[in-house]
Amino acid sequence: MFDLSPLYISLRAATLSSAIVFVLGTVVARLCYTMQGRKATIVDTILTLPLVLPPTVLGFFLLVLFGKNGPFGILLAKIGQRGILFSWKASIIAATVVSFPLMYRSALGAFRQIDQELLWAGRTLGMSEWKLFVHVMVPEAWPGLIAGLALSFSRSLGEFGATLMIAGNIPGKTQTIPMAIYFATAGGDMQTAWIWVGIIVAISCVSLALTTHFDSRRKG
Amino acid sequence: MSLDVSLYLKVAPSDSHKPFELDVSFCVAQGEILGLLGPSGSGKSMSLRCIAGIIHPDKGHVRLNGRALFDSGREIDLPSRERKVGYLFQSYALFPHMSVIKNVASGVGRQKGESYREWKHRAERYSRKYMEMLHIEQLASRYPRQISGGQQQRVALARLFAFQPEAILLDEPFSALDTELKDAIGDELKKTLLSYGCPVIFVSHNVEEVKRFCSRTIRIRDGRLESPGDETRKGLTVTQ
Repeated sequence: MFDLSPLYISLRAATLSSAIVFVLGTVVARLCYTMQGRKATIVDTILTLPLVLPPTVLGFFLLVLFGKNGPFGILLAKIGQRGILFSWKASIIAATVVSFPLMYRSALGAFRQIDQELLWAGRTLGMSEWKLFVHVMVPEAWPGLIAGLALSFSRSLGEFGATLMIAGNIPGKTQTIPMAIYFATAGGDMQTAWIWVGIIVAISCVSLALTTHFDSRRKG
Repeated sequence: MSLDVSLYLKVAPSDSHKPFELDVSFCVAQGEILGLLGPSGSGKSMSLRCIAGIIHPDKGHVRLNGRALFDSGREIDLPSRERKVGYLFQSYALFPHMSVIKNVASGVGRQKGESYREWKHRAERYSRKYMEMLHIEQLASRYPRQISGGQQQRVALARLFAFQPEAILLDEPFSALDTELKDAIGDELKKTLLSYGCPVIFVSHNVEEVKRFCSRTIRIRDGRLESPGDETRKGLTVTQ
C-alpha cells in the first residue's frame, strides 16, 4: 500500500504556515509602512534575511533558537511545550520562517502602491488608522496580498533544507513530499519519486490557477 | 463662528522644486464661500492641506469655531481625523472597492454611548438624506468606476455632508468636469453649500469660476496674498 502521509504532512504544514504568514506578514508590513529612515532599512533587512539565507543556515539558527538551551526552547518548555524539534510543529515553524519574507514584501509593495489621497480622504473623514487599514488599505492591496499568499504557499510546500534540519525525515510524522522525493530517489525507488513529483506539480498548478482566477475575477 | 487661518511654511528646495515660502492669513465666515484664486504652484492647495492637517506649517494658527486645530505658539496640532474639516480632493478620492452608499456612509463616525445598530441606522439615514439632496440615490449600489465624473463628484460631496464637517475645503472641484457639466452643477452646488452653512474655501485657477461661485475672492501668488491687509483685515473685523 502506497503511503500517502507525506501529502497530508506537506499540505498541513503549507496551509497552516500560509495562514500564519498571511496575517503576520500583512500586519508587520503595515507597521513597517510608516517607518522611515535608518530604522526602516534595518528592520526591512532583518525581515527579508530569511529569503536570501540558505535554508540550511536558517535551519541551523532555528535549531539553536528552539533547542533545549535556546531562548525559544526554554520559553516553550515553560508553557509545557517540550520537544518541539523533530515534531510536526517544527515543520510548520520552518515553513513559516522561510515563506514570511515573500508575504511581507508583497504586502509592503501593495501598500506602497495605494494612492495617498485615498488615505488622506479617510483621515479627514475621521477614520482611525485601524479602520483605514481594515476598510481601505487591505481591500486596496488585496490582489497583492493574494499574490503574496500564493508565493508563500508554494514556497512552504517546496520547503526542504530548513525542515530537514529541525523536523528531520521521520516517515509518517515529519516526512514531507520534497523529502519523500529526495529519499526515494536516493534509495533508487524511481516509481515512488515519480508519483510524488506528479502530485507536487499538480498541486502547484492548481494553486497557480486559483490565484489567477481570483485575480481576474476581482479586476472584473 | 468662523475659520481663522494664519499659515507660515518654508519648504526647502529639492531636485524637483525651487524653495517655496507660504505666508498667508485669512478668515472665512460662517456660510461664506471664500474663493482662493491663483496660478498652479502658488500655494492654494498647500494652504488647504495645512488646514486639513495633511501638511504641518512651521508657524501660525488654524481656528475653527473657536477651536484651535493648529497653533504653533501653544504647540497644538490636531490630527486630521479630529479636525472635522471636509476636504474635496481634485480626484474626489472615492474608495474604489466600496459601493456609493458605503462611500457616503464611510465618514459617519460612531458616537459615544451609541450602540452598533444605532450607529449603522444613523449612517444609513444620513447617507440617504444627502444622496437624495444631490440626486444620486439611484446609484447607491454602484461602484465609483461604474459612474460618470459628475456623479463621482456628487458622491464625494454627499460623503462630505454626511460626515457633518464644520468647514469644507474644495480643491479645484470642477477641474475634472467639462464646461457644460460645470455650469449645470455649479449653481446647484452653491445653493447646497450655502444651505449647509459652514465656512467654505474654494480653490481654483479660473477667474470666471471663482466669480460665479464665491461670495468673496482673495488672490494668491508665490505663497502670498496679493492685497494683504485689505481683504483679510475686513474679514477679521467682521467676525471679531
